[in-house]
Amino acid sequence: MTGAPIEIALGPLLFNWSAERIADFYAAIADETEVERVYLGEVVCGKREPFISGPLAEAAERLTRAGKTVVWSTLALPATPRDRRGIAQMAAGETLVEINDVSALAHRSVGAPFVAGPLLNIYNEAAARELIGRGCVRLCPNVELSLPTIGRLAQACPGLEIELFAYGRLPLALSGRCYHARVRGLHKDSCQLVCDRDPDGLTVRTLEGQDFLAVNGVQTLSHGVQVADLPIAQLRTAGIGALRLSPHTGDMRKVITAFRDFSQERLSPQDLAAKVREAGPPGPLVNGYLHGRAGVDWAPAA
Amino acid sequence: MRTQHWSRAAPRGDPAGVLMALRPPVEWLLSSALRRVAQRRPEVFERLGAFGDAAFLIAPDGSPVAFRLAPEGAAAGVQVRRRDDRSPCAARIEGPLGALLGLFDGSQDADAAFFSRAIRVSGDIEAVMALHNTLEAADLTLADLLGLSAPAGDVANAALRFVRQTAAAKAAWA
Amino acid sequence: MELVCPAGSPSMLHAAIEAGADSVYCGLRDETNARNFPGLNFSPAELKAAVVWAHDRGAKVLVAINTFARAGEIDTWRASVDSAAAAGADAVIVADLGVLAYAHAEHPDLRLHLSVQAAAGAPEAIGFYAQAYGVKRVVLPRVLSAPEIAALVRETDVEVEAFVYGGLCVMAEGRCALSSYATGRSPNLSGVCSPPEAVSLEETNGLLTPRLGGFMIDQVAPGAAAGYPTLCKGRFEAEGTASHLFEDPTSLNAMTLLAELRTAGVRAVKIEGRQRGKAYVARVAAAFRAALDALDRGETTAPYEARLTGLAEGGRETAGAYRKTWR
Repeated sequence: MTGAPIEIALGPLLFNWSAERIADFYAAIADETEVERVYLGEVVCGKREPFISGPLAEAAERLTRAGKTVVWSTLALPATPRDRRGIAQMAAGETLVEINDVSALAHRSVGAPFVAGPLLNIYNEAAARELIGRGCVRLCPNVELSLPTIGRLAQACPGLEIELFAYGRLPLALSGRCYHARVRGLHKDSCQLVCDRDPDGLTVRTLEGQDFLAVNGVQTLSHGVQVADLPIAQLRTAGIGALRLSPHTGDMRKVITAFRDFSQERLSPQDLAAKVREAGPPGPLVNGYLHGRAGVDWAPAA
Repeated sequence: MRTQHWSRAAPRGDPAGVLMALRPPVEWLLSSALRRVAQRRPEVFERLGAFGDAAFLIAPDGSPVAFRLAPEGAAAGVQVRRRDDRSPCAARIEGPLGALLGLFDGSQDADAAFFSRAIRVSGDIEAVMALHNTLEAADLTLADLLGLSAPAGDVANAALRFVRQTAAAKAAWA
Repeated sequence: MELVCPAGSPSMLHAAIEAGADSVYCGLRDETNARNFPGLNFSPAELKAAVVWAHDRGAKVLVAINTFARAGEIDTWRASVDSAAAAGADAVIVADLGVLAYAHAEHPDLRLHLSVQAAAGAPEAIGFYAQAYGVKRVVLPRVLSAPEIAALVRETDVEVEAFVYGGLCVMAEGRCALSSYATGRSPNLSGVCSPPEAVSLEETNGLLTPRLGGFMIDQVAPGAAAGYPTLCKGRFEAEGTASHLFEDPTSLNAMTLLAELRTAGVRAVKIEGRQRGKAYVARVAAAFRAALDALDRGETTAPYEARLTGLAEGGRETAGAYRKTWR
């Protein structure tokens, strides 16, 4: 193995899970020695926040006690004054936060460290430098970017940590409209939080029955599950310092172990994909974006 | 007799055959119109970009023949083909002649023209959009390219009349 | 209110201004603008001539350089900013932080508008762009309701421009990768959504099947109107029901809300559709010109609301997010 070890980070939970599921999930993560960093916070829909902030605060406590770095993530698309206040409060401190909307920068003192999340539009080194100048220490690039592109960006921004979206359904779009509510004939303002019925999102198929996308409230994700199964040497060359695993149902501990073994080159890219499949991902594996192709494509490791 | 080889290839009662037999003069007329545009306004075809040497088969409904249009490049010109011609081209565009001319003359909203269902496009949609956008931007019409200049509404009839009359005349000479 | 109209080519720019546009927006013929369709847009020389032509008629030209620069190739985007400045453009419309920083530093006199692609809908975000880069105007994402826009205008010093007509992005613009998931190309990556080279149209017994990147986007019955096969306007199945899950194939028409937007303090209203041609822009610009003039005379816009029927995608229109029931 060459260079510093690649960190395993757990991304923010994107789905509307029950308090019990959240508690159980993060209790297991706290005992999971392979994860160094855990992002917590409601990123998708401010309406969920009152219901999950308690369980997440308890999770934060437990994770911190277990020695994990907890980083709070802001909401990505503030829709109400309450959403905006939430972002402002999170951004106002000096502790490390993940910023998912530019509005957070207005409340952040220059130099206070932050992570730029994948829902910010940072596509090049010039944009990254704008954020670095304000305190950005780590970037989780937008999922559309190919590994060579990420590599070019990283090379031009020495010192910037790069965290690759390595596992999970790809966050593709955000809307003012709630699709969970729309599917069930409800309105966003009286949605009854029906997104809680689909812990990995609701599958969207084409008219000929092909699985395609997944909706999660105002968010649209891929149906396919990203697995960054590129050779570790290539990831290192592209400047990847951390792998972000996005929480899903299935055996997340198995996913974490597989990525840890992969990052330490104890597991080949082929075996990574096989192990991840055993863990019960919510869809078929995809990795096209990393190869500069359609995100839905799957190019198995050579 | 000069017209004899046309009559050999043009059995009576086969309109496609008749028109195919008349190809050389028709193609010459159409291609020189296209080249006149290219000479007069060379900048026009810059817009085609990567599709500079693409060819388009334009097949008016009810017409026994189709036009193979290559706007630019070494093979620039218009050729008359049988409408079932399957030689390689970037895209095949079919529909009533009036709708085809409307598609390209800027008198219709582009989206509406494309997806009105009157017109059927197969092949490279991007190439067709490039051709459409190029003609629209240049204030050119398909009629201009095909050497037919008349108000858009009349062009359909005028074009067909032209082709039919020429065919009839040539057939009669034979 | 300023009427801002699209121009996909010089002839479309002429048509828009002759029909009453106060400003037109256009892009250079490359991937630096978000309507990078084949055959569309302006060369630097055409842009220069267009600015002269527009200025002679008292109209403004706004240049959209509103895609996100590719890593390692930011010079292309910088060159577009330089071209716009050299052409005498009245403003550039930008989304990328790196491009904003460049324009602000290198062309301090060039007016900066924040593109809808930046998806800045919160006053804090808008304030950040104004403070950091001197942005003078924000084009609002099409996810806000009219009362929310009014509240927003009260909270910001930056001019507000709102879309009132044309194709409706149902997702927050600039934050949508649906197109690239299916095709490899997207607005942010390549300046084009649902790119034409990935579109295929099959017709069997009159049943039209548009596909994007191989995925079936819809099935259109014989004779029924079809729109451009944009992914988010397609029909899909969820929970056993087929529907236009993301958005019906409608287009935005907020003419009935013009008075409300004006009262709210919206500075400019924008028409979408640089790819739709001069016939489209002439008609839409004339209708909105007449409606805005009517408002200035203290009259209603009602007589002009019927002028645009038939232009809408799939023949249907919506006031979109401006009415909260849309959500």
